[in-house]
Amino acid sequence: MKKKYIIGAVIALAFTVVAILSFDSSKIEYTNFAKAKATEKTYQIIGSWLKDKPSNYDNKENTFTFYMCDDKKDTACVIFHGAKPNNFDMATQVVVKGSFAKNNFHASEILTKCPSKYEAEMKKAGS
Amino acid sequence: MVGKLIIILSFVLALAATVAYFLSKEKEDRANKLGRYLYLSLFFSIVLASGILLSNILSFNYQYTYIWSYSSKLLPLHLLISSFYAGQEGSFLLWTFMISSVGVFLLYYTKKYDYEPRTMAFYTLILVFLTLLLIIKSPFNFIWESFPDVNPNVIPPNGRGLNPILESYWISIHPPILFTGYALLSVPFALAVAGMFKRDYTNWANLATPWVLTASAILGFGIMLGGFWAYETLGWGGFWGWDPVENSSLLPWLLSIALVHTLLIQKRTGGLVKTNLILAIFAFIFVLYATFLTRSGVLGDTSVHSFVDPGQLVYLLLLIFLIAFTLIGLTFFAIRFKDMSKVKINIKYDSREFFITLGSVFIMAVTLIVFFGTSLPLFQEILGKPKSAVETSFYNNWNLPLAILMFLSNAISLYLNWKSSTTIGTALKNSFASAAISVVLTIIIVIAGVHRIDHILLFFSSFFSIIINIVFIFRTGRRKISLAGSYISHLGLALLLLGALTSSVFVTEKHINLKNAGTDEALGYKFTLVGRNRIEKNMSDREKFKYHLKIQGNGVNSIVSPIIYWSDFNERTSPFFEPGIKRYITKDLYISPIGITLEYPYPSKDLGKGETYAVPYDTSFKVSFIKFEMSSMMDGGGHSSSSVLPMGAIVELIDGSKSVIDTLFADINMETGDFKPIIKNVIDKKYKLGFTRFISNPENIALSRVEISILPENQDIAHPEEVISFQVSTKPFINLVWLGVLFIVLGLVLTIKKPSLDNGKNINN
Repeated sequence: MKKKYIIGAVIALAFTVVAILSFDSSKIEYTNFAKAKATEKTYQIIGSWLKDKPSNYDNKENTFTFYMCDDKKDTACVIFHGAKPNNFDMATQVVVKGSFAKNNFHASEILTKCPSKYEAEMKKAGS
Repeated sequence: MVGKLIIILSFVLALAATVAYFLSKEKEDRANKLGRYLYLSLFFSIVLASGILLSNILSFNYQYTYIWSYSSKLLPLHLLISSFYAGQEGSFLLWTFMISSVGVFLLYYTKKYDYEPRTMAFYTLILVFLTLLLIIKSPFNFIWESFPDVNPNVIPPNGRGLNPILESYWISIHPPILFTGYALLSVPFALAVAGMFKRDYTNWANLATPWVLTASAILGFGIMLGGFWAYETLGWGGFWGWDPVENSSLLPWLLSIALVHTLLIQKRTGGLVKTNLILAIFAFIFVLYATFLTRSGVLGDTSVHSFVDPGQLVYLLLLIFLIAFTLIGLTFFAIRFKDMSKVKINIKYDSREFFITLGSVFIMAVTLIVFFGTSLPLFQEILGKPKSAVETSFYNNWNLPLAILMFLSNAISLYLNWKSSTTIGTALKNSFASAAISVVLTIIIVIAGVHRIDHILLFFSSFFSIIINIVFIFRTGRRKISLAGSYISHLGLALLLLGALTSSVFVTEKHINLKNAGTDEALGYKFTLVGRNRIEKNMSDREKFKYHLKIQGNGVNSIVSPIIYWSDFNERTSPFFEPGIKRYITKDLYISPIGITLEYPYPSKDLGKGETYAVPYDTSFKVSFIKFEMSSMMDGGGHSSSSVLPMGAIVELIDGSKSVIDTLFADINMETGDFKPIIKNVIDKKYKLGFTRFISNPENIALSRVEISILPENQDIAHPEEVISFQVSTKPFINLVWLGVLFIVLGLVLTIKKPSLDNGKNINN
């Protein structure tokens, strides 16, 4: 019985160690444009879409380009490899995942956070 | 007011029932009877509360904030009913309703098997928390309570309605099934804690087994329906994305599946007593954890599902709920730990029970992987580290080898006997034929082009598992179909993972653009957009079209019709999409609209203030947008008809070194919204300019943009043509996924049996 527990514990420990190690390699940090610009690493950045700047869906290349401002008020041009996400116009917050190349942030994923409808209405009514 | 009072009454009844059940001396005494009456009253009171909410939804009573927020007169009946649980308050009420209904069955079940008082005490305690939650997060708040500046006498004529992407028949099916599964998982928890309370470590497990099986079947089915919804209607392209919301529903299911196996071991060998208690506790804790993750707003930035911050109080209560039940479970476990240790077993390595246990360990490993991956953002926040999330490859890379090991241990276990009366050598010999066929099939797959070693191994192990389980289905199913249950489930799992692999790894996709009557080729097919027709014409809040795509090639000649629609929900600023799917036995052809672009027969560009556009045929000439000219709109502009007003865009026209300030106008009909550009000739040039579209910025109208078009001399203003972009893909063997889950569920259902109690042991301590 004792031996079995030890073997079990060793397996569990090894498993945990490997899991934590692989964790670090597949972890994507949230950061801002300034930090992401310094490396070529993949990051996630939370910010908002600048609607007064140009935005365009290029249907030949299947890329959606827009300008985004992060929480440090830094602005960057984001090139998303895909179509303009649904609900993008309503989004109060945008999360992009990707990395910098030649001063543009190339995003592979976009998450949009929308206020639930009535929250938005109430905000409008309140303002 | 009545609704709120009934919720408070339910809370009081739940509290009283819990106390009465605790006071009962484990027999049919007065306290037990009182507890039973109180519980049944609690059930009726929750049914009444749910009935009140539903009848108010059906009678369009928008003085309730909740109903006003999620329901609307425009909804058809099935969606009207579904708006019951479209928001947090209602989904808590649905969950409460499900738990209280399941409790009625549990009450008579435990009464029959002499297990009622303690089980129902812990079970009702869950309802104490839930009803408390409903008092704080009430679906019965009035509009004027939620928004104090609203005049109490004004009842909104209509509600806000559902998010259009939820308007599908799936919302009537998926959430209630999922919540039933969640509710059923509170039964093994209550039985486990009651068992520990009574120092009975055997009968609780026998009693819990049919419930765990039922919960696994229903929850598994509910999760699959969610995946099917995402694939079929939401157009996410796949059925599973390792999103936190999906993962958090998977966690309790994984543990309940592990529990199905370990309960069997306990029944056969008497072992794994502690494991079973822990699994029963954590399957339920994970239900609470899922609720916490998805309802507290903690994962807001990492999920595609929208989260609403429910407020500090609910957040805290959910956290207390989670911690309290974890503590209840673990405290009893710690107190009884020594007592349980008396049970000793010896599992040999060459026995069926060893390999089944090994399989359960792999399921638990998968659970841990999903748990850590999903919880990472939360842990990082607690540790004060920078926020981060894992990539989906994390889950795939870990679970793939675990799946291979799971299939192999399942296959070998079938050829071993309980208590090791066959050796592993015999088992390998008996499974030789199946292994040989699997090798042949795997070689075919390799020739067909699979080269990654982990994929090859997954193919081999799932073939192996499929063949062996089919053999056993025929062997046992001939005698009695219910005996084949476990083999059918394992066959289902192998089919599911095989389908998941083929439909995601061997997917081929391409992006195409189609104008009306236009044609493009992709993936060996020819796609022609043959037209569109409007559907749901009677609904004034939307404009919904079916776009018909003719598909030819590869022996196919048929029409697929994805849907594109505009909804008042987002003020029709951007379209919503639903995919079109052409189903075949061996693959799906998946056509997902992703965007609409407007194309003019002449160049045009949208400009913000200060932005410049260089004219394509004359590079020395540039147009720069300065600002809007609205003054003529303010004073009516001297036009005879007051409903048509001119809007101007002041532009700078730069020609080499010369520059002129000019204004381009468009007539806007304030009643119809009709926008009519006034085209202006440019002196000495062979083209004209027009302010052809106003792109409004709803947050700040002054930051709106304009579209400037450059028309050749002989060109008139034209309507833009729609160009629709589609993502077309083939999903090979996706049907194996659905078939696999159906087999898993069917197998689980077949295995459900009445419990057989171990009468040699004293139930009532």
